[in-house]
Amino acid sequence: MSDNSRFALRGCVVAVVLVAAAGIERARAAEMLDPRVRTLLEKHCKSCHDPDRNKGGLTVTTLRGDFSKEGYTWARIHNVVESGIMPPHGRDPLSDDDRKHLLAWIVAQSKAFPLRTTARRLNREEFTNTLNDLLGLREDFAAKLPEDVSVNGFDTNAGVLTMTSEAFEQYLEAIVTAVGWRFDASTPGFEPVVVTVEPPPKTKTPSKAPRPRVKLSTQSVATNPVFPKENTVGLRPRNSGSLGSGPNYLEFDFSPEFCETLPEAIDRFKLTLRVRSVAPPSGSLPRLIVEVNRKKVLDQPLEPRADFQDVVCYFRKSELTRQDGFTIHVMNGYETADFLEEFPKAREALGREKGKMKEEYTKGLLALLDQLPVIFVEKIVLESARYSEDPVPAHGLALTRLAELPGDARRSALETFLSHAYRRPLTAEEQKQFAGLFEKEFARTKSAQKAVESCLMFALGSPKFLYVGAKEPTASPNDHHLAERLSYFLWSTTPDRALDGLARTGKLRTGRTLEEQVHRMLDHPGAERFFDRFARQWLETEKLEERHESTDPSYRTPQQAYLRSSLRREGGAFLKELVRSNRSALSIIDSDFLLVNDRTSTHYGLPMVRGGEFRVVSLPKGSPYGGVMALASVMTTTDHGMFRPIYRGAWVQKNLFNRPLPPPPSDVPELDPNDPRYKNKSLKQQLALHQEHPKCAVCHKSMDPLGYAFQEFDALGRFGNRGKGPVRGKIESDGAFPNGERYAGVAEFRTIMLEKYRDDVIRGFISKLIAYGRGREPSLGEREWIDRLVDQAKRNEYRMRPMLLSIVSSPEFLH
Amino acid sequence: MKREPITRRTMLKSASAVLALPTLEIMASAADNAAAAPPPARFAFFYVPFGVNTKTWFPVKTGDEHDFSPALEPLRPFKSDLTILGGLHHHRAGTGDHDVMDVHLTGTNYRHTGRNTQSFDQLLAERIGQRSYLKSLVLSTAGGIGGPGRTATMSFNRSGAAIGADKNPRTVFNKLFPPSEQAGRDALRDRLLQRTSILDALREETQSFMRPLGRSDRDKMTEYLTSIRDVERAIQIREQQLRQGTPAASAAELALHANSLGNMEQRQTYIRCMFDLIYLGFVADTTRVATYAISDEANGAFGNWSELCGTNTDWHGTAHRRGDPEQDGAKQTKIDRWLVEQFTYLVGRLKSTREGEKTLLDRCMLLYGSGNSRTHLHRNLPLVFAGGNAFNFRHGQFLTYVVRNRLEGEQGTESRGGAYRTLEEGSAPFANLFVTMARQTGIDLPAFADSTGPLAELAAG
Repeated sequence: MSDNSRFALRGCVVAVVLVAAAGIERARAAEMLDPRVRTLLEKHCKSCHDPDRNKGGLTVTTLRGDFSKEGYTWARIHNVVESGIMPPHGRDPLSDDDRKHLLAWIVAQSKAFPLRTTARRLNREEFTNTLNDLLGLREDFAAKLPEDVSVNGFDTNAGVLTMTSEAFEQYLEAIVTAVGWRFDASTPGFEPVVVTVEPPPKTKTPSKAPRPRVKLSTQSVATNPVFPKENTVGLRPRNSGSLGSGPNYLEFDFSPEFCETLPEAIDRFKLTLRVRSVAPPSGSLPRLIVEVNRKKVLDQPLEPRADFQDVVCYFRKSELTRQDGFTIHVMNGYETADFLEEFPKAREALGREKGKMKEEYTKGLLALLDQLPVIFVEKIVLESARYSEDPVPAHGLALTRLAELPGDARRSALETFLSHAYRRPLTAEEQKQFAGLFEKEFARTKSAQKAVESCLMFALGSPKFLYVGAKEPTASPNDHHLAERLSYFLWSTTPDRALDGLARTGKLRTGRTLEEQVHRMLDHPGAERFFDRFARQWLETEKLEERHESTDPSYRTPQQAYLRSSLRREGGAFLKELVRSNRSALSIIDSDFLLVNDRTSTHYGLPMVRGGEFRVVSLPKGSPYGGVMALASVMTTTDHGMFRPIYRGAWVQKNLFNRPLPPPPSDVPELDPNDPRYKNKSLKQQLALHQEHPKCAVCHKSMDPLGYAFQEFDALGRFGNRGKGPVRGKIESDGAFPNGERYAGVAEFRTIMLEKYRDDVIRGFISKLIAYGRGREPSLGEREWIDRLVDQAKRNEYRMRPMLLSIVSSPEFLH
Repeated sequence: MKREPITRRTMLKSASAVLALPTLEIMASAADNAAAAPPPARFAFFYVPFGVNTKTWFPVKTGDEHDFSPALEPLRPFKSDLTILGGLHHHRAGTGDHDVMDVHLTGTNYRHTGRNTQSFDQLLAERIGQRSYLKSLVLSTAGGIGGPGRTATMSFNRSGAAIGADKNPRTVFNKLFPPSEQAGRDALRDRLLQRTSILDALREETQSFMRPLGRSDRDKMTEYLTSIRDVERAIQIREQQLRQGTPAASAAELALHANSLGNMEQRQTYIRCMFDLIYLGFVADTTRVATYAISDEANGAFGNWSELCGTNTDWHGTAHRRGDPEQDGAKQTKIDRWLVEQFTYLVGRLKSTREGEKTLLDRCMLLYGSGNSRTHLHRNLPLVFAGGNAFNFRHGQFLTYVVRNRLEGEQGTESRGGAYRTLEEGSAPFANLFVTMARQTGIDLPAFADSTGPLAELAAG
């Protein structure tokens, strides 16, 4: 008998048994599935959603009504039936009574079978933060880990945060690397290497030992502001190079020959730059950018000061593409994009003035260039990084000294580490096992240091560390569960000592402790991660910096790099202001303020503010801006060419009303701007055409009309900036809400939203916060909980802090 | 109800039988089995962005009598080892400008679903990669994952998540081979022992940890345990490599210091070094599946071709014919040909290496090409499929599935308007090529993405 036929035979046996089992399952299903619901599914859904056709990945014939397993599927059915998408147009419609019965039954069953958030792996951001916090490092491990799958935008979804072999391999690699890095600075350092910026020597003096060198990008001394008057070089903004500004970067070359003289084992280097900046009051601040072998290691705004200051950054040799030598570029990253329009014109005008002497031309050019900030560099210092400058780990232990401790002290320190990694006290069994592991590793390696490293790797590789929310089904949630969930919600990392300490003494939920902790956590710098990560995932602005394909061709140019990174940070800044100032969440719909930095302030047509940090500015009366909908970042992310009302309407439905629409059916062609039927029709008429198809209309009638409100915002969210972008002809910014109520423009759109839909928006917002913070969206069975939260929010004038507190103090937050 | 435990046990038994098979193969040393089992099939996929100059890429005549076009000329000596393909594309692919690399090996329409799917190389890695040390080798010049629509990797896992690509030759070498000098080998052995010891402890801990958990939590822990076992398996193979003595390849013979940022010479050294690594991985059977994105649609590497084509030659701009169309066309031909020369180097190396009765190329299937024909036009993909003669391919042809006249008629239009849609008629899905490759090597693959069946003209039986 051949191998193949043997397997085939076994296959048959399995199949027979499966058929038998299927019969039993069907029998059981009959008990749980409401008979009327079963009849309805058979009558209205089966013809498309049977195992053969399995349309949309849904088969109704195998549904058993077991909500502990099928909860997600039933929620999908509820969603499409409630919104009228199913049964599709042209098919036998559900009667009102049947529809109500089906929906009510699904809701009732959801309540009877409450779901529980499953254990989930830390996503790569959380893992990186936690690893850094436990080891006292500040490294970007996330960049090397597989990206996480998101559900409705959020990468904290417990359902999909699973482990695969290739991911585990990379997580393990990161853990081993991290532990290695924690101890690697034990190798002796070297004398700091100082490279002073000096005028190039007139004659070359042959030197015996290889030395690091300084190079200017161009030697155009004429337009160079100070050099060689002082022994420094003034760096004009890097984008102004083409305008004749002279040197716009400095290159420090640590050649391979020189680097061979450094101890090879040293991986982490510290770079100190002695710099000063001059910035005319009319513009913003310059940014100091440092790249090592083209990897950016520093990008920070530099306040103008009379005297020089030290700026410090770090890099790792092992993280560079080229490791035999270092080429360090220092640049002035000032954003000239705003000036470029006027600047070349002024320069051209200067050139046109015939008969001018060369000196005069240079003088004029200098006067122009002097409107831009300059960074002066005196010297840089390269040295090996030291432990003493590392952040203090969350548990407060001095890890590098661990191996030297006497037996008992070391054991207790290791237990402290393990206990912090597990985010709870250890059991006696765990203590015993951990001590056993140390002994075993010590016996194997004869080295306390190596045994300590193994113990740390074990702790960080354990599922008790890598997964949050694993719980025995019967156990009720305790303070540690709450501290963990709270901390990953608001900080994206492990609880700190204060929070952990409260959980250990069981006091987190007594008196006003939880409230105090929530306030403390929101005021803590760690909360920036919540503001940033949540806002980006909620508003879908995550990809703006690197990946957004804008219809505005200038968007992806190097000159707009700063605009891109600013837009990506904008949503987080807005949310931070709402929370830190405890503002009303209704600011989402409309606000009389905006958060801007130097780059976005002019983008919005507001007076320029100085510096890269976002700050609150009041909007003038009648401003088209306000709320999150018209944020430049949101407008940019929802721009997909001339059919943008569709995308912007869908965005409102998905992110403000929390009604994500299913993806278009795969047999529907993409809209074609060159369709001959579109000729001589306005955009609205064109979009009306595709709504003629019932399959399209079912969703598009509820999204397209919402998107017209933003027609006056261009591809990058600038108001009334016509002539650019694909909008042709008359702009129609009037539309309708799904219930048919009409609005005339963006202002009225906001007014109606605020009057009639405020609770829908708040409900959506709360649901999003829960989806992100708990790792699971509120289920159908939790509708009453959400109603309760909305009521509470209303009583508290929708203020952010009480709203967040009411979410995390509900028992459902831990379900 | 009574039968349920039996079912599960039967399933487990058959599952373990299947799982045991590769392990057994690994354990038997390569020397013992060399005569008995035929050498395995290997697959490698290469990507270049922005398409090609189609006029100087596709041969004029079709079938066996085709001639080599200016861009493909370097491949002439290997005519009987390769097939030039035209007219294939992913019918379901998203129609975006530069997300064609994201879907090159997945064929999915991820704009509709928001998520990519498993790439063909990863499917192969799952089916055949298990039997070698590295399930697959994922390389790109840019490195990392990039992002949706601007991917820096060709490979996507089962759940559609991007798999980070390696760009550093030394890292790749260290992944593939244990070091040759004694100190390095000892250090590696120590590291492996340490990992085995830690994984041992982790497995035990996980088993006792998961026991009292609820069903869904336990499922997650089962995945975790499986992952531990997979890593343990890889460590075992690595230890065996160490026991077998010094590795087949020595680092000194390779240009591992090569970096992609330098001049044309360094660029060539870098690309060839990446090819060498794939070659060595195949020779030593350390891996059987590889992807290498020579550059990507995000312009992540080799954007500037001024040294080859004259000043201010930006790849993307040239592909768009931003300058003079004639001149830019000539420039693009130069770039195309230069890249094909590099690819020819790998083909030649595989061809000149014997493996058993045949050459290594006969058991390696290389697919070189782009996700565009001209830039932003994801139709009529320029593809060269080389190697695999041991698996009965009818090589030596120019096979085209394009409705030719219509394509010529539309030259010069850059819009994705309705005109291109007509090209779909009569052209075959790209995924049919994947199905053909899999089936010819004995991998049971009923369908992939939008495939409709194998490419009959390519299979000799």
